[in-house]
Amino acid sequence: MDCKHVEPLVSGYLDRELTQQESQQVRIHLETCDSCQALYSDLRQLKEKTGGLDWPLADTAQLAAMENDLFSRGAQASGWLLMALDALLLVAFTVYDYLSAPDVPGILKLCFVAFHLGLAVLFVMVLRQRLMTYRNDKYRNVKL
Amino acid sequence: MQQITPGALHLAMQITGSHDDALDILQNAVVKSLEHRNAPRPGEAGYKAWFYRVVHNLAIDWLRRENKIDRHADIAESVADDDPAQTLATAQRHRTLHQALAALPLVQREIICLKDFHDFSYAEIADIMAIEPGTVMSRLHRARLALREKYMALENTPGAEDGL
Repeated sequence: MDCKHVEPLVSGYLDRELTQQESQQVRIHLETCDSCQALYSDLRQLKEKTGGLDWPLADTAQLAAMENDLFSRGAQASGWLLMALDALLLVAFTVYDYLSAPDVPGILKLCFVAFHLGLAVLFVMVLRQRLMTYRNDKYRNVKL
Repeated sequence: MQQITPGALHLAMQITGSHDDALDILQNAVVKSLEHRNAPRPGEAGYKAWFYRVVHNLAIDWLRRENKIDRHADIAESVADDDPAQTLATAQRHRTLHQALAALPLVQREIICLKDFHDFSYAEIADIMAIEPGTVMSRLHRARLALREKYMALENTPGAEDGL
């Protein structure tokens, strides 16, 4: 038997669904033909992997679809943006309100500014490090 | 009955790509099996293949009736997220194989699942899918060749692991 006749029988051979005679012919051919042997090996590995696949029997499939749809991603981005803008406005108003208060001594205002400036610098440093780590993380798109 | 329902639920999900719809289909299949007078009884020879054929028919009917799109790709997105015990490489390979299966036509995906996941014989597959027994081997072989092609294409994309 040549490759043209053996190739369609490889799946049947793999699944033990051939007659004894066909099975013997395929086996003999596989021993001498590298390309058919490679095909048999590939199909056998795929068969084993498919047999061992996990199929999520929960709502994770729908959950993933919901999380990835355009509306959800847009809503999430809008939510974060609104929160960040709101926080900035609140901080700016508080700082303005405190610094413009006439009854607070100047030295206290200086301490207040220095303390919060220090906090802001630390926050920006941590944020910068996180962003750099994220940018260089080659596994960031890998879902575990 | 309890022994075959998890597998039948898998089959319904492999066809529809939706867990909730697969549950509905399974429930309808159980009702049909109880109503059908000439159906094999649980435990009898051929009951499992008969029940899977009912699930197959109901799932295909559901796809046609609802004109649903194939949502198997969602499974490929969500798979392996739930099992932290899996190694990174195994999780990636499973995801790639799910993506390759998702890229196949429904008929090819189903025949591969019936053989390689559910381990039915060719005669049983012919019975479940209502096709000629003589065509199972050739259809399955073509499906496996298509799966190999898709899988290798995905494996060869940048960042993927090498080899089958």
